Amino acid sequence: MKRLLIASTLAILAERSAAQTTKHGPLALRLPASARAQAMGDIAVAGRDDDVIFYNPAQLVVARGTSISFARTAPEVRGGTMSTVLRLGSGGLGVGVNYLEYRAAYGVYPITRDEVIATPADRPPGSSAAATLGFAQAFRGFRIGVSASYAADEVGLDRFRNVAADAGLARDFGRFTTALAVQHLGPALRNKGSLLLNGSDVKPPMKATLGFGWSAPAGPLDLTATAAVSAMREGHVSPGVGAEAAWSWLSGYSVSARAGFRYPRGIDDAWYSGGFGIVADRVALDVAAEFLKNDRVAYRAGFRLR
Amino acid sequence: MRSHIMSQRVIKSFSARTSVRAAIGTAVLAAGACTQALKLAPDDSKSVLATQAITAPNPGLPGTFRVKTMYYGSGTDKRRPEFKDSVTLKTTAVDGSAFVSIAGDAGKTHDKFWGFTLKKMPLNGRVWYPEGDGPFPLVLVVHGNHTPDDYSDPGYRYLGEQLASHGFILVSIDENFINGLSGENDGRGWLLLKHLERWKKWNDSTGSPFLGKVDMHQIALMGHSRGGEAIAHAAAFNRLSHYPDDAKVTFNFNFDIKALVAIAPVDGQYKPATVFVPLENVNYLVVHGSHDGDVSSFGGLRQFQRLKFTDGQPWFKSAWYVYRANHGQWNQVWGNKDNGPRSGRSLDLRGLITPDEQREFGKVVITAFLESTLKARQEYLPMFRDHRTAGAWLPKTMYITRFQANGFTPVAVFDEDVDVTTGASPGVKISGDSLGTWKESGLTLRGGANDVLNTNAVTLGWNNMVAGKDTAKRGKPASYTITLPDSLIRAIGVSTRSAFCFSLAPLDAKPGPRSPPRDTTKKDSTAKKDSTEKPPAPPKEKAKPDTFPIDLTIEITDAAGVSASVPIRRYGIPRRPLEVRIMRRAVQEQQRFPNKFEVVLQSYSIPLADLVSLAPSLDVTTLRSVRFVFDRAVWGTVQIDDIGIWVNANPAFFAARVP
Repeated sequence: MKRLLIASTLAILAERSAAQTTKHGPLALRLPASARAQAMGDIAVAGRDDDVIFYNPAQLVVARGTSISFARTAPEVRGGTMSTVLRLGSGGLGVGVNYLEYRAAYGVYPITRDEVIATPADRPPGSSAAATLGFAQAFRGFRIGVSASYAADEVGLDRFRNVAADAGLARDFGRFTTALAVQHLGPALRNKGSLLLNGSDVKPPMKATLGFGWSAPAGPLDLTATAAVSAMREGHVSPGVGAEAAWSWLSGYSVSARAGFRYPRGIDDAWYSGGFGIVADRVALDVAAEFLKNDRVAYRAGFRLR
Repeated sequence: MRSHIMSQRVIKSFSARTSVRAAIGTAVLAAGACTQALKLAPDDSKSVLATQAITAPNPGLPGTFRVKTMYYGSGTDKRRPEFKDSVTLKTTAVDGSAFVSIAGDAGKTHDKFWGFTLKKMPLNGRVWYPEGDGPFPLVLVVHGNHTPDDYSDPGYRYLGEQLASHGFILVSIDENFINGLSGENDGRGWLLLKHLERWKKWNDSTGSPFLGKVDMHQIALMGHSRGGEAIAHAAAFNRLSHYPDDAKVTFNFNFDIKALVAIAPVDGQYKPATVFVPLENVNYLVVHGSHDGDVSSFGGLRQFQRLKFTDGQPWFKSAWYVYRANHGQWNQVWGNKDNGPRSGRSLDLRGLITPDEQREFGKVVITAFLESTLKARQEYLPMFRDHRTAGAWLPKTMYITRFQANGFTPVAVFDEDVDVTTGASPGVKISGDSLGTWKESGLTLRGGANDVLNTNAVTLGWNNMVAGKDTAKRGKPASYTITLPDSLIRAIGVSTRSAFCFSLAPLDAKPGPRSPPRDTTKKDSTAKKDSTEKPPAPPKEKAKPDTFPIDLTIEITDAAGVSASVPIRRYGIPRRPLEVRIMRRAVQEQQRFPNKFEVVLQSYSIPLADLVSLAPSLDVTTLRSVRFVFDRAVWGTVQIDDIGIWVNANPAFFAARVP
């Protein structure tokens, strides 16, 4: 029995040293959360859909609707999000949940999306979830918002929980929206004896994002462009751009094509993404494909109700 | 194995593509299903406009004058060469900041784009004028709100060429530099008067190319959309000594503005002291398209209602509702997409008459109106009383027209009290017989309760069928009687030159059949019958709209009891409501418009001489009662307003009649 325990511990530590690429978590805080945004380089800091709660709470002032999305990154890596916004006077209240289930590599925590994608199917199940509540208010032409997230990762028999806060600011300048979001501020997850943490604390994956959104008609099309640069706690700086061209033939109905490019920050991100959307009155269907390493493609399909 | 994987990928790929195509196809189908079918009211124009009773030349054709053009303006315009290097006459700027303001960044953007502030508004105009010595009547036309850099003033070229060929000077005023603003409508009107000041100066100045060529006693103002409201403000300011919003600003205009032409006007954007700007003593024409995607209610009818004639001059006012006309086609620049270049996504453009047809209408009616009011030509007057007299000139669509002339004495206008049995003058008594509906209420436009005309009308419904198994059984025709006191008839001097006038619109409501009369020879016979007979079964399916023509009879009776009657169809066309669908999507149509149709009353003027010719012993100087007899349609509902007597009706209005 003792030999077995030692062997297991060695195996875990060996696998961990080979795979671990981040010291920040929980994973749920760094997952894409919107099909439309994911197709546009996962940039939504200046977005106006309800799922902007996962990117910049300040935009809850102008966001509207309810959405749900389903993601499939690998056969064993699936998840989804749900979010909604309630307009309150000149402000907005939003709620969102982001969830991912996967197979967890032995002894690896914190983990990245890259790692769970690469994990064989015979490993123990894991999951990540974050629930976010946000509020934003317009003030003298600015939009100011805050949100709080409760995030939890469950890896094998271990469970890791933490809370984090986001703060955002946004303002329109004509057709441009300028937005700044500082996300995942909060205390480190203290090591309370878990073998996985190996005696170290896990800080939230804090990042600051400055971005722009722009939209304008161009001939028969409605164009949207967005750009953002994110500075990550890991030390990476990750710029990205996204664009959408929508064509409407009847008021309330449109089809759109989207593309995004992001300079990857080394983990989790893809270089390219793309997708399309169909809006039919108050319902929208968005589909995104994110082209990951090793020819893997992450898909997400979302439905929005406005 | 590899081929198996490949085939799986192909299947997956095919499946994905199929799904995407299915999704797009579903969306397109859903969108198609959400687009309303084109639905227009049945067109009766071929029969209604089959007659050309007026024998004068078609006013829509070019006149005999050779047309010249010129520009006047600042000479410094940075956006348009015609107001920079091409100006024949230079004008100095005027300070419009008391009337128009822009705050903050918008002001900076405005000033940068145009190169001047609101303190230095240019007086720019493009002029079409007839070759000759004149003097020629002067007509100013001003555009409404539109994208500022899509310049609106060239869009009235068709009117400029047309009117100049008929001997009018037409000036299209540039107010593009206050487009896109709000709270500026008084400024639009004030600018027109500043232009008139220039024209007076040029007409009086030696060396001016227009010396003595302008008839400053015959001036008309014409405006489209916001400009259509602005002309009313100009007419009001023209008679005021002080600006209502700031008495420090004084006026001294007093021009001889004889006519106003409002094209699809807005109304009520400027309300000094929170009241609609009063209008009086001017000839007035308003035209509006049923399929106006911008100003979708006939708000100009409020101006029409407000206009009062108080000075005994021969003014008249005329309103035209043009079925299938829109907002933008009155202007050659604006086009048919009333809410911007992309509004074809939301507006149903399929039902519109063509731009040429719409402008042809404008040329015919506006030229005839200005010929009548600025040149005192009488031969076109009948078409304003009954548009059917100009059947061959008007594009083939449906029209509803309102008309009233000075000398109209109201008998029942339903605004004065809440007693449905009293009229507009003391002693007038009103009664109803066998009516299914009888009520007085406010007239509303398509926008419903928030879109009121600020005037009341009476709603009368009738169903001459008698309930029971015998569906052919009819009761006595319902009627609505106005009894006139002798003192009123003598005081206003009713004679055979007078005409009985009213305005009426059929509605789509159908009152239920009336109860059978009680058999009074048997005790409690109806109660017994009621107790044994089953109540009528509810209708199994939604009733189809009625299609039989609406008509009714006007019966006049004198003090001696002599009566004569005529059907109203002889004096105007009573039509069922003209259904309007402006939006492509039914849900948007319903959200925007509570009513499927605009209730526009058609005016009828019935010369009392016609009734005397039917009953020579009828003495109209002792007129006692007027009865609306609902005997020509089994059932129906109508709204009626402005019942009165046009005492000394100008016979020229009746010189041409529809047989």
